[in-house]
Amino acid sequence: VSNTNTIANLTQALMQINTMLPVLMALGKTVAGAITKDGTAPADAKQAVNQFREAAQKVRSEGQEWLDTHPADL
Amino acid sequence: MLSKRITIALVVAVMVVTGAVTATGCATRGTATVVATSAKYGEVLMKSIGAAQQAVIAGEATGLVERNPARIAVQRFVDTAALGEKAADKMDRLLAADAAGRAALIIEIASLLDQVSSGALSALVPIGNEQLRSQLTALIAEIVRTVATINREVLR
Repeated sequence: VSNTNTIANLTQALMQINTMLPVLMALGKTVAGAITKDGTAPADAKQAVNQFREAAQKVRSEGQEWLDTHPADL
Repeated sequence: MLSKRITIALVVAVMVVTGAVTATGCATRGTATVVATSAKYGEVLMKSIGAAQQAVIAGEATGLVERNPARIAVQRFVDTAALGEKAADKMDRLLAADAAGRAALIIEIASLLDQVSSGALSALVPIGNEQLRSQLTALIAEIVRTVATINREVLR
């Protein structure tokens, strides 16, 4: 009888978890979304990094091109 | 009794799930803000270095700067730009880093941006023309102030 009760309780608990998890995840995402809204979105940060990289690449490529076409005076 | 334990376990599970999702949101917000701030200042820094490099190249073309000192200066600008690209790669990694790796990456980025700043300053040393060198020094001083701002923001 005890084992039957344990299994019944576990089954009920699993069903509760199964029902509650999506609700909780949605709630958590909403809270996280509200927090993120006040700061910087990761996509915006990624875009800023790309612009920084492009600026650095431009300096490097322009400088290297000039070096390649302007040999040292001997 | 068992039902009570399961209820406690459920409450704990609920707290863990909610806490984990919320903590992820906080971490994402904080890291993204740090990365965006560093990257925006980094972009300003690189554009200033680009302007200084163009001034040196133009100076060489007009005879204000001799070829060899100009080559040394441009080579140093190129090297600093490569360090900037390395910093950008670290920023990408920081966006995806877990809490354990975040602090080390932030320090590495701040260090790289500091090296970019000192590299840009050393690039001006070979410039013989005093007027051009002083004008560019003013520009580089602005860069140094910018990097100090970056490091303050990043390490805060």
